[in-house]
Amino acid sequence: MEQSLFFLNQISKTYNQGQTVPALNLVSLGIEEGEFIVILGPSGCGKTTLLRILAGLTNPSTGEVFYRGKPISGPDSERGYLFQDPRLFPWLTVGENIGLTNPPESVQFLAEKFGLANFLNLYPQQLSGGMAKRAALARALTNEAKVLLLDEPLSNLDWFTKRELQQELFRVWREEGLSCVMVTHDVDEALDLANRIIIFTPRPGQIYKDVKLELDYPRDSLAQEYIIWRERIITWSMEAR
Amino acid sequence: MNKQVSWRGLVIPLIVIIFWWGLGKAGLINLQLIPSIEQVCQALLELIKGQTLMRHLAISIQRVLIGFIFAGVIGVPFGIILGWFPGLQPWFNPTLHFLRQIPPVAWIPLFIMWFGIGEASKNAIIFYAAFFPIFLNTQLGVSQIAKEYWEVARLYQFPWSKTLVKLVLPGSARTIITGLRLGMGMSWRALVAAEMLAANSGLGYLIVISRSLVRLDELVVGIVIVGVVGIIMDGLFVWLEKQLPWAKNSKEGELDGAELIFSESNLKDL
Repeated sequence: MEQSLFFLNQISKTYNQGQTVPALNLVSLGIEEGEFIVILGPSGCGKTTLLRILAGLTNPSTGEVFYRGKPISGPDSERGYLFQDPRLFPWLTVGENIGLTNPPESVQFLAEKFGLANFLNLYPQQLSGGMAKRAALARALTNEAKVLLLDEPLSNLDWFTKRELQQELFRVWREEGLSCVMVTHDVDEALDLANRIIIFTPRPGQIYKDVKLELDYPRDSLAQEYIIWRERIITWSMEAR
Repeated sequence: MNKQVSWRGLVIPLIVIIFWWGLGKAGLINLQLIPSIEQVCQALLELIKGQTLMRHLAISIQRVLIGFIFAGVIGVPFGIILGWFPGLQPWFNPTLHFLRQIPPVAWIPLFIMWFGIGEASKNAIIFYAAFFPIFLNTQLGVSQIAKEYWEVARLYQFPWSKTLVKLVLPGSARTIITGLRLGMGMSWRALVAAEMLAANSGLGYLIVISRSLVRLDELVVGIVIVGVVGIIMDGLFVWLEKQLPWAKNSKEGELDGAELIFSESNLKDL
Protein backbone atom coordinates (compact mmCIF):
# COMPACT_ATOMS: atom_id res chain seq x y z
CA MET A 1 0.00 0.00 0.00
CA GLU A 2 2.82 2.35 0.86
CA GLN A 3 4.35 1.72 -2.55
CA SER A 4 1.14 2.30 -4.48
CA LEU A 5 1.10 5.26 -6.81
CA PHE A 6 -2.35 6.20 -5.59
CA PHE A 7 -4.12 4.81 -2.61
CA LEU A 8 -7.72 5.72 -1.92
CA ASN A 9 -9.21 4.76 1.41
CA GLN A 10 -13.01 4.85 1.65
CA ILE A 11 -13.51 7.98 -0.39
CA SER A 12 -16.95 9.59 -0.46
CA LYS A 13 -17.98 12.84 -2.03
CA THR A 14 -21.26 14.70 -1.80
CA TYR A 15 -22.06 17.99 -3.48
CA ASN A 16 -24.27 20.61 -1.91
CA GLN A 17 -26.43 22.22 -4.52
CA GLY A 18 -29.52 23.16 -2.56
CA GLN A 19 -29.82 19.50 -1.72
CA THR A 20 -27.00 17.08 -1.10
CA VAL A 21 -26.05 15.07 -4.16
CA PRO A 22 -23.87 12.04 -3.50
CA ALA A 23 -21.26 11.56 -6.23
CA LEU A 24 -18.95 8.89 -4.83
CA ASN A 25 -19.65 6.34 -2.15
CA LEU A 26 -16.89 4.59 -0.20
CA VAL A 27 -14.42 4.02 -3.00
CA SER A 28 -11.24 2.20 -2.00
CA LEU A 29 -8.65 1.63 -4.65
CA GLY A 30 -4.93 1.19 -5.16
CA ILE A 31 -3.33 2.27 -8.42
CA GLU A 32 0.11 0.95 -9.24
CA GLU A 33 2.96 2.60 -11.11
CA GLY A 34 2.87 2.06 -14.87
CA GLU A 35 -0.74 1.01 -15.10
CA PHE A 36 -3.19 2.23 -17.69
CA ILE A 37 -6.36 2.22 -15.66
CA VAL A 38 -9.70 2.96 -17.20
CA ILE A 39 -12.61 3.88 -15.01
CA LEU A 40 -15.71 2.85 -16.89
CA GLY A 41 -19.18 3.97 -16.01
CA PRO A 42 -22.27 5.81 -17.23
CA SER A 43 -22.39 9.59 -17.36
CA GLY A 44 -22.80 11.22 -13.98
CA CYS A 45 -21.46 8.32 -11.94
CA GLY A 46 -18.78 10.40 -10.28
CA LYS A 47 -15.89 9.29 -12.48
CA THR A 48 -14.77 12.83 -13.14
CA THR A 49 -15.03 13.61 -9.44
CA LEU A 50 -12.71 10.71 -8.71
CA LEU A 51 -10.23 11.96 -11.30
CA ARG A 52 -10.37 15.47 -9.88
CA ILE A 53 -9.69 14.07 -6.42
CA LEU A 54 -6.61 12.27 -7.79
CA ALA A 55 -5.46 15.55 -9.36
CA GLY A 56 -5.97 17.46 -6.12
CA LEU A 57 -8.56 19.76 -7.68
CA THR A 58 -11.36 18.51 -5.43
CA ASN A 59 -11.23 17.23 -1.87
CA PRO A 60 -13.19 14.16 -0.88
CA SER A 61 -15.93 14.71 1.69
CA THR A 62 -14.69 11.77 3.73
CA GLY A 63 -11.85 9.30 3.35
CA GLU A 64 -8.17 9.67 2.52
CA VAL A 65 -6.20 9.83 -0.74
CA PHE A 66 -2.49 9.25 -0.98
CA TYR A 67 -0.04 9.83 -3.80
CA ARG A 68 3.17 7.86 -3.31
CA GLY A 69 2.28 7.52 0.34
CA LYS A 70 1.66 11.22 0.92
CA PRO A 71 -1.82 12.67 1.39
CA ILE A 72 -2.98 14.75 -1.58
CA SER A 73 -3.61 18.35 -0.57
CA GLY A 74 -3.63 20.08 -3.95
CA PRO A 75 -2.41 19.92 -7.54
CA ASP A 76 1.12 18.70 -8.17
CA SER A 77 3.24 19.04 -11.28
CA GLU A 78 3.85 15.28 -11.29
CA ARG A 79 0.17 14.72 -12.01
CA GLY A 80 -0.88 16.06 -15.41
CA TYR A 81 -4.58 16.41 -16.13
CA LEU A 82 -6.36 16.51 -19.45
CA PHE A 83 -9.73 18.21 -19.08
CA GLN A 84 -12.63 16.99 -21.15
CA ASP A 85 -12.78 20.36 -22.91
CA PRO A 86 -9.28 21.39 -23.99
CA ARG A 87 -9.33 24.63 -21.96
CA LEU A 88 -6.65 26.26 -24.03
CA PHE A 89 -6.46 29.97 -23.24
CA PRO A 90 -8.17 31.65 -26.20
CA TRP A 91 -5.92 34.73 -25.92
CA LEU A 92 -2.71 32.73 -26.29
CA THR A 93 -1.44 31.01 -29.42
CA VAL A 94 -1.00 27.25 -29.47
CA GLY A 95 2.71 27.71 -28.84
CA GLU A 96 2.10 30.07 -25.92
CA ASN A 97 -0.44 27.67 -24.47
CA ILE A 98 2.05 24.82 -24.56
CA GLY A 99 4.63 27.23 -23.16
CA LEU A 100 2.44 27.85 -20.11
CA THR A 101 3.71 24.64 -18.56
CA ASN A 102 6.83 23.92 -20.56
CA PRO A 103 10.14 25.76 -20.94
CA PRO A 104 10.41 27.68 -24.24
CA GLU A 105 13.05 25.33 -25.64
CA SER A 106 10.79 22.30 -25.44
CA VAL A 107 7.72 23.87 -27.03
CA GLN A 108 8.97 23.19 -30.56
CA PHE A 109 9.83 19.62 -29.65
CA LEU A 110 6.42 18.96 -28.12
CA ALA A 111 4.68 20.57 -31.07
CA GLU A 112 6.51 18.30 -33.48
CA LYS A 113 5.75 15.28 -31.38
CA PHE A 114 2.03 15.99 -31.50
CA GLY A 115 1.87 17.15 -35.10
CA LEU A 116 1.32 20.78 -34.17
CA ALA A 117 4.53 22.28 -35.54
CA ASN A 118 2.73 24.21 -38.28
CA PHE A 119 0.05 25.50 -35.96
CA LEU A 120 2.11 27.11 -33.20
CA ASN A 121 1.09 30.62 -34.15
CA LEU A 122 -2.61 29.92 -34.50
CA TYR A 123 -5.15 30.70 -31.83
CA PRO A 124 -7.08 27.80 -30.27
CA GLN A 125 -10.37 28.87 -31.85
CA GLN A 126 -8.78 28.27 -35.25
CA LEU A 127 -7.98 24.64 -34.46
CA SER A 128 -10.08 21.56 -35.11
CA GLY A 129 -11.31 19.58 -32.11
CA GLY A 130 -8.60 16.96 -32.49
CA MET A 131 -5.83 19.53 -32.81
CA ALA A 132 -7.06 21.36 -29.73
CA LYS A 133 -7.06 18.11 -27.76
CA ARG A 134 -3.50 17.38 -28.83
CA ALA A 135 -2.41 20.87 -27.89
CA ALA A 136 -4.01 20.35 -24.49
CA LEU A 137 -2.18 17.02 -24.21
CA ALA A 138 1.10 18.72 -25.02
CA ARG A 139 0.36 21.27 -22.31
CA ALA A 140 -0.45 18.55 -19.79
CA LEU A 141 2.65 16.52 -20.59
CA THR A 142 5.26 18.51 -18.74
CA ASN A 143 8.75 17.31 -18.03
CA GLU A 144 7.78 16.57 -14.46
CA ALA A 145 4.60 14.66 -15.34
CA LYS A 146 4.66 11.10 -14.06
CA VAL A 147 0.94 10.51 -14.12
CA LEU A 148 -1.58 11.49 -16.73
CA LEU A 149 -5.19 11.86 -15.65
CA LEU A 150 -7.49 11.78 -18.66
CA ASP A 151 -11.11 12.91 -18.51
CA GLU A 152 -12.96 11.43 -21.51
CA PRO A 153 -10.08 12.36 -23.81
CA LEU A 154 -11.65 10.72 -26.85
CA SER A 155 -15.18 12.05 -26.61
CA ASN A 156 -16.63 14.43 -29.21
CA LEU A 157 -14.11 13.44 -31.86
CA ASP A 158 -14.73 11.94 -35.27
CA TRP A 159 -13.67 8.34 -35.82
CA PHE A 160 -10.36 9.11 -37.54
CA THR A 161 -9.27 11.75 -35.07
CA LYS A 162 -10.27 9.52 -32.21
CA ARG A 163 -8.16 6.66 -33.55
CA GLU A 164 -5.15 8.91 -34.04
CA LEU A 165 -5.40 10.40 -30.59
CA GLN A 166 -5.87 6.96 -29.08
CA GLN A 167 -2.62 5.80 -30.68
CA GLU A 168 -0.99 8.99 -29.46
CA LEU A 169 -2.09 8.29 -25.90
CA PHE A 170 -0.89 4.70 -26.15
CA ARG A 171 2.50 5.83 -27.45
CA VAL A 172 2.86 8.45 -24.75
CA TRP A 173 2.01 5.94 -22.03
CA ARG A 174 4.42 3.32 -23.38
CA GLU A 175 7.34 5.52 -24.34
CA GLU A 176 7.35 7.97 -21.47
CA GLY A 177 6.83 5.37 -18.79
CA LEU A 178 3.82 7.23 -17.49
CA SER A 179 0.94 5.93 -15.46
CA CYS A 180 -2.46 6.76 -16.86
CA VAL A 181 -5.88 6.99 -15.30
CA MET A 182 -8.58 7.50 -17.87
CA VAL A 183 -12.26 8.01 -17.35
CA THR A 184 -14.77 7.04 -20.03
CA HIS A 185 -18.24 5.70 -20.71
CA ASP A 186 -17.12 3.93 -23.87
CA VAL A 187 -16.38 0.20 -23.57
CA ASP A 188 -14.33 0.08 -26.76
CA GLU A 189 -12.06 2.92 -25.71
CA ALA A 190 -11.49 1.09 -22.46
CA LEU A 191 -10.68 -2.17 -24.24
CA ASP A 192 -8.28 -0.53 -26.65
CA LEU A 193 -6.10 1.05 -23.99
CA ALA A 194 -6.56 -0.35 -20.51
CA ASN A 195 -4.65 -3.03 -18.74
CA ARG A 196 -7.06 -2.66 -15.88
CA ILE A 197 -10.70 -1.66 -16.00
CA ILE A 198 -12.72 -0.49 -13.06
CA ILE A 199 -16.45 -0.67 -13.63
CA PHE A 200 -18.47 1.90 -11.71
CA THR A 201 -22.09 1.77 -10.66
CA PRO A 202 -24.38 4.70 -11.48
CA ARG A 203 -24.53 7.60 -9.03
CA PRO A 204 -23.37 7.53 -6.38
CA GLY A 205 -20.33 5.90 -7.95
CA GLN A 206 -19.07 2.74 -6.35
CA ILE A 207 -16.65 0.15 -7.63
CA TYR A 208 -18.65 -2.68 -9.13
CA LYS A 209 -15.78 -4.67 -10.56
CA ASP A 210 -12.01 -4.31 -10.76
CA VAL A 211 -10.67 -6.28 -13.74
CA LYS A 212 -7.11 -6.92 -14.94
CA LEU A 213 -7.17 -7.24 -18.69
CA GLU A 214 -4.80 -9.92 -19.92
CA LEU A 215 -4.62 -8.85 -23.53
CA ASP A 216 -1.56 -8.01 -25.62
CA TYR A 217 -0.93 -4.62 -27.19
CA PRO A 218 -1.72 -3.43 -29.76
CA ARG A 219 -5.27 -4.57 -29.25
CA ASP A 220 -6.89 -6.41 -32.11
CA SER A 221 -10.63 -5.96 -31.99
CA LEU A 222 -11.16 -9.02 -34.20
CA ALA A 223 -9.19 -11.41 -32.02
CA GLN A 224 -11.18 -14.09 -30.22
CA GLU A 225 -9.82 -13.07 -26.84
CA TYR A 226 -10.71 -9.44 -27.33
CA ILE A 227 -14.27 -10.35 -28.26
CA ILE A 228 -14.63 -12.48 -25.15
CA TRP A 229 -13.33 -9.66 -22.95
CA ARG A 230 -15.66 -7.26 -24.64
CA GLU A 231 -18.63 -9.50 -23.89
CA ARG A 232 -17.59 -9.74 -20.25
CA ILE A 233 -17.07 -6.04 -19.78
CA ILE A 234 -20.40 -5.26 -21.39
CA THR A 235 -22.16 -7.85 -19.24
CA TRP A 236 -20.62 -6.47 -16.07
CA SER A 237 -21.41 -2.92 -17.08
CA MET A 238 -25.03 -3.87 -17.59
CA GLU A 239 -25.13 -5.66 -14.25
CA ALA A 240 -23.67 -2.59 -12.54
CA ARG A 241 -26.75 -0.58 -13.49
CA MET B 1 -17.90 46.44 -43.64
CA ASN B 2 -16.30 49.51 -42.14
CA LYS B 3 -16.43 51.41 -45.42
CA GLN B 4 -20.13 50.75 -45.74
CA VAL B 5 -20.73 51.97 -42.22
CA SER B 6 -18.76 55.15 -42.81
CA TRP B 7 -20.52 56.27 -46.00
CA ARG B 8 -23.93 55.39 -44.66
CA GLY B 9 -23.19 57.27 -41.49
CA LEU B 10 -22.37 60.39 -43.49
CA VAL B 11 -25.73 60.57 -45.25
CA ILE B 12 -27.69 62.19 -42.42
CA PRO B 13 -25.05 64.83 -41.58
CA LEU B 14 -24.86 65.69 -45.28
CA ILE B 15 -28.63 66.07 -45.53
CA VAL B 16 -28.58 68.32 -42.45
CA ILE B 17 -25.79 70.44 -43.89
CA ILE B 18 -27.51 70.77 -47.26
CA PHE B 19 -30.77 71.75 -45.59
CA TRP B 20 -29.02 74.22 -43.38
CA TRP B 21 -27.21 75.71 -46.34
CA GLY B 22 -30.37 75.78 -48.50
CA LEU B 23 -32.48 77.39 -45.82
CA GLY B 24 -29.80 80.01 -45.26
CA LYS B 25 -29.61 80.73 -49.01
CA ALA B 26 -33.37 81.09 -49.13
CA GLY B 27 -33.24 83.47 -46.20
CA LEU B 28 -35.53 81.25 -44.19
CA ILE B 29 -33.51 81.09 -40.96
CA ASN B 30 -33.45 83.61 -38.18
CA LEU B 31 -29.79 84.57 -37.95
CA GLN B 32 -30.32 85.77 -34.38
CA LEU B 33 -30.93 82.15 -33.37
CA ILE B 34 -29.09 80.00 -35.90
CA PRO B 35 -26.00 81.18 -37.74
CA SER B 36 -25.69 80.38 -41.42
CA ILE B 37 -23.25 77.71 -42.47
CA GLU B 38 -21.06 80.31 -44.17
CA GLN B 39 -20.77 82.23 -40.91
CA VAL B 40 -19.81 79.08 -39.07
CA CYS B 41 -17.13 78.18 -41.62
CA GLN B 42 -15.86 81.72 -41.50
CA ALA B 43 -15.68 81.58 -37.71
CA LEU B 44 -13.91 78.25 -37.86
CA LEU B 45 -11.24 79.66 -40.17
CA GLU B 46 -10.78 82.72 -37.98
CA LEU B 47 -10.52 80.64 -34.83
CA ILE B 48 -7.93 78.42 -36.49
CA LYS B 49 -5.96 81.37 -37.83
CA GLY B 50 -5.87 83.20 -34.54
CA GLN B 51 -4.67 80.04 -32.74
CA THR B 52 -7.67 80.44 -30.42
CA LEU B 53 -9.15 77.10 -31.32
CA MET B 54 -5.86 75.24 -30.91
CA ARG B 55 -5.28 76.84 -27.53
CA HIS B 56 -8.70 75.89 -26.20
CA LEU B 57 -8.54 72.43 -27.75
CA ALA B 58 -5.07 71.75 -26.38
CA ILE B 59 -5.96 72.76 -22.85
CA SER B 60 -9.15 70.67 -22.94
CA ILE B 61 -7.32 67.59 -24.20
CA GLN B 62 -4.56 68.08 -21.67
CA ARG B 63 -7.10 68.23 -18.82
CA VAL B 64 -8.87 65.13 -20.03
CA LEU B 65 -5.65 63.19 -20.41
CA ILE B 66 -4.38 64.01 -16.93
CA GLY B 67 -7.64 63.07 -15.20
CA PHE B 68 -8.16 60.06 -17.44
CA ILE B 69 -4.67 58.66 -16.87
CA PHE B 70 -5.09 58.97 -13.12
CA ALA B 71 -8.47 57.23 -13.36
CA GLY B 72 -6.91 54.42 -15.40
CA VAL B 73 -3.89 54.02 -13.14
CA ILE B 74 -6.14 53.68 -10.11
CA GLY B 75 -9.31 52.20 -11.66
CA VAL B 76 -7.74 49.30 -13.54
CA PRO B 77 -5.69 47.83 -10.66
CA PHE B 78 -8.55 48.39 -8.23
CA GLY B 79 -10.97 46.68 -10.62
CA ILE B 80 -8.56 43.78 -11.08
CA ILE B 81 -8.25 43.26 -7.34
CA LEU B 82 -12.01 43.29 -6.80
CA GLY B 83 -12.60 41.03 -9.79
CA TRP B 84 -9.91 38.64 -8.62
CA PHE B 85 -11.15 38.49 -5.04
CA PRO B 86 -14.95 38.62 -5.28
CA GLY B 87 -15.16 38.38 -1.50
CA LEU B 88 -14.14 42.05 -1.37
CA GLN B 89 -16.98 43.17 -3.61
CA PRO B 90 -19.74 43.34 -0.96
CA TRP B 91 -17.50 45.70 1.02
CA PHE B 92 -16.88 48.17 -1.77
CA ASN B 93 -19.57 47.92 -4.40
CA PRO B 94 -22.54 49.54 -2.59
CA THR B 95 -20.47 52.65 -1.84
CA LEU B 96 -19.09 52.77 -5.36
CA HIS B 97 -22.50 52.36 -6.92
CA PHE B 98 -23.79 55.19 -4.75
CA LEU B 99 -20.96 57.45 -5.89
CA ARG B 100 -21.48 56.42 -9.49
CA GLN B 101 -25.01 57.80 -9.46
CA ILE B 102 -23.77 61.32 -8.72
CA PRO B 103 -23.04 63.27 -11.91
CA PRO B 104 -19.47 64.62 -11.84
CA VAL B 105 -20.78 68.13 -12.42
CA ALA B 106 -22.59 68.00 -9.09
CA TRP B 107 -19.20 67.92 -7.36
CA ILE B 108 -17.90 71.06 -9.04
CA PRO B 109 -18.79 73.48 -6.21
CA LEU B 110 -17.17 71.25 -3.60
CA PHE B 111 -14.13 70.45 -5.73
CA ILE B 112 -13.57 74.16 -6.32
CA MET B 113 -13.63 74.74 -2.57
CA TRP B 114 -11.26 71.86 -1.96
CA PHE B 115 -8.88 72.15 -4.89
CA GLY B 116 -9.27 75.80 -5.88
CA ILE B 117 -10.36 77.32 -9.15
CA GLY B 118 -7.30 76.07 -11.06
CA GLU B 119 -6.47 72.88 -12.87
CA ALA B 120 -6.69 70.59 -9.89
CA SER B 121 -10.46 70.86 -9.55
CA LYS B 122 -10.93 70.11 -13.27
CA ASN B 123 -8.61 67.12 -13.06
CA ALA B 124 -10.61 65.87 -10.10
CA ILE B 125 -13.86 66.12 -12.10
CA ILE B 126 -12.36 64.17 -15.01
CA PHE B 127 -11.00 61.59 -12.64
CA TYR B 128 -14.40 61.20 -11.04
CA ALA B 129 -16.14 60.88 -14.41
CA ALA B 130 -13.69 58.38 -15.88
CA PHE B 131 -13.09 56.28 -12.80
CA PHE B 132 -16.39 54.40 -12.57
CA PRO B 133 -16.68 53.05 -16.11
CA ILE B 134 -13.02 52.02 -16.00
CA PHE B 135 -13.20 50.44 -12.58
CA LEU B 136 -16.56 48.69 -13.06
CA ASN B 137 -15.72 47.29 -16.47
CA THR B 138 -12.34 46.04 -15.30
CA GLN B 139 -13.97 44.32 -12.36
CA LEU B 140 -16.60 42.87 -14.69
CA GLY B 141 -13.98 41.72 -17.19
CA VAL B 142 -11.97 39.89 -14.55
CA SER B 143 -14.98 38.27 -12.93
CA GLN B 144 -16.23 37.11 -16.34
CA ILE B 145 -13.13 35.00 -16.97
CA ALA B 146 -14.46 31.44 -17.01
CA LYS B 147 -13.72 29.46 -13.86
CA GLU B 148 -12.40 26.66 -16.09
CA TYR B 149 -9.40 28.84 -16.94
CA TRP B 150 -8.80 29.71 -13.30
CA GLU B 151 -8.73 26.00 -12.65
CA VAL B 152 -6.04 25.53 -15.28
CA ALA B 153 -3.98 28.16 -13.44
CA ARG B 154 -4.57 26.33 -10.18
CA LEU B 155 -3.76 22.93 -11.69
CA TYR B 156 -0.39 24.13 -12.96
CA GLN B 157 0.20 26.14 -9.80
CA PHE B 158 0.85 29.45 -11.53
CA PRO B 159 2.42 32.01 -9.23
CA TRP B 160 0.27 35.15 -8.92
CA SER B 161 2.40 37.11 -11.37
CA LYS B 162 1.93 34.48 -14.06
CA THR B 163 -1.80 34.32 -13.33
CA LEU B 164 -1.94 38.08 -13.77
CA VAL B 165 0.00 38.18 -17.04
CA LYS B 166 -1.29 35.03 -18.71
CA LEU B 167 -4.85 34.85 -17.41
CA VAL B 168 -6.25 37.96 -15.76
CA LEU B 169 -4.96 40.75 -18.00
CA PRO B 170 -5.49 39.12 -21.41
CA GLY B 171 -8.73 37.52 -20.27
CA SER B 172 -10.22 40.88 -19.36
CA ALA B 173 -8.42 43.09 -21.90
CA ARG B 174 -11.41 43.59 -24.15
CA THR B 175 -13.68 44.63 -21.33
CA ILE B 176 -10.98 46.87 -19.87
CA ILE B 177 -10.64 48.65 -23.20
CA THR B 178 -14.43 49.06 -23.32
CA GLY B 179 -14.22 50.60 -19.85
CA LEU B 180 -11.43 52.96 -20.92
CA ARG B 181 -13.47 53.93 -23.94
CA LEU B 182 -16.58 54.67 -21.89
CA GLY B 183 -14.46 56.46 -19.30
CA MET B 184 -12.95 58.65 -21.97
CA GLY B 185 -16.41 59.53 -23.27
CA MET B 186 -17.69 60.32 -19.80
CA SER B 187 -14.71 62.48 -18.94
CA TRP B 188 -14.89 64.40 -22.19
CA ARG B 189 -18.52 65.28 -21.51
CA ALA B 190 -17.83 66.12 -17.88
CA LEU B 191 -14.91 68.30 -18.87
CA VAL B 192 -16.92 70.44 -21.24
CA ALA B 193 -19.56 70.89 -18.55
CA ALA B 194 -16.89 71.82 -15.99
CA GLU B 195 -15.31 74.33 -18.34
CA MET B 196 -18.69 75.92 -18.95
CA LEU B 197 -19.18 76.43 -15.24
CA ALA B 198 -15.75 77.36 -14.01
CA ALA B 199 -12.86 78.02 -16.36
CA ASN B 200 -11.27 80.67 -18.48
CA SER B 201 -10.00 78.37 -21.18
CA GLY B 202 -10.97 75.21 -22.99
CA LEU B 203 -13.70 74.28 -25.45
CA GLY B 204 -16.45 74.56 -22.83
CA TYR B 205 -15.27 78.05 -22.04
CA LEU B 206 -15.23 78.87 -25.76
CA ILE B 207 -18.88 77.87 -25.97
CA VAL B 208 -19.91 79.92 -22.94
CA ILE B 209 -17.95 83.02 -23.86
CA SER B 210 -19.32 82.89 -27.42
CA ARG B 211 -22.80 82.95 -25.99
CA SER B 212 -21.97 85.94 -23.78
CA LEU B 213 -20.51 87.76 -26.78
CA VAL B 214 -23.47 86.65 -28.91
CA ARG B 215 -21.10 84.97 -31.35
CA LEU B 216 -23.42 82.14 -32.29
CA ASP B 217 -21.13 81.12 -35.15
CA GLU B 218 -18.23 80.52 -32.76
CA LEU B 219 -20.57 78.77 -30.37
CA VAL B 220 -21.57 76.29 -33.07
CA VAL B 221 -17.91 75.78 -33.99
CA GLY B 222 -17.24 74.93 -30.34
CA ILE B 223 -20.08 72.42 -30.20
CA VAL B 224 -19.08 70.71 -33.43
CA ILE B 225 -15.44 70.48 -32.38
CA VAL B 226 -16.45 68.89 -29.07
CA GLY B 227 -18.39 66.24 -30.98
CA VAL B 228 -15.64 65.62 -33.53
CA VAL B 229 -12.89 65.27 -30.94
CA GLY B 230 -15.13 62.94 -28.92
CA ILE B 231 -15.66 60.68 -31.92
CA ILE B 232 -11.95 60.61 -32.71
CA MET B 233 -11.01 59.65 -29.15
CA ASP B 234 -13.68 56.99 -29.15
CA GLY B 235 -12.41 55.66 -32.46
CA LEU B 236 -8.92 55.35 -30.97
CA PHE B 237 -10.21 52.87 -28.42
CA VAL B 238 -12.19 50.93 -31.02
CA TRP B 239 -8.97 50.71 -32.99
CA LEU B 240 -7.05 49.67 -29.89
CA GLU B 241 -9.51 46.90 -29.21
CA LYS B 242 -9.05 45.55 -32.70
CA GLN B 243 -5.29 45.38 -32.14
CA LEU B 244 -5.70 42.52 -29.67
CA PRO B 245 -4.31 39.71 -31.82
CA TRP B 246 -6.71 37.07 -30.52
CA ALA B 247 -9.69 39.34 -31.09
CA LYS B 248 -8.90 39.48 -34.80
CA ASN B 249 -9.33 35.77 -35.07
CA SER B 250 -12.33 35.39 -32.85
CA LYS B 251 -15.74 34.67 -34.21
CA GLU B 252 -17.43 37.09 -31.85
CA GLY B 253 -19.00 40.13 -33.46
CA GLU B 254 -16.65 43.07 -33.41
CA LEU B 255 -17.69 46.54 -32.44
CA ASP B 256 -17.98 48.76 -35.45
CA GLY B 257 -19.02 52.30 -36.09
CA ALA B 258 -22.70 51.44 -35.98
CA GLU B 259 -22.38 50.52 -32.34
CA LEU B 260 -20.55 53.65 -31.27
CA ILE B 261 -23.60 55.56 -30.27
CA PHE B 262 -25.06 52.82 -28.17
CA SER B 263 -21.77 51.97 -26.56
CA GLU B 264 -23.02 52.91 -23.15
CA SER B 265 -25.24 49.86 -23.13
CA ASN B 266 -21.96 47.92 -23.03
CA LEU B 267 -21.50 49.04 -19.47
CA LYS B 268 -23.17 46.21 -17.67
CA ASP B 269 -24.19 46.60 -14.10
CA LEU B 270 -22.46 44.37 -11.66
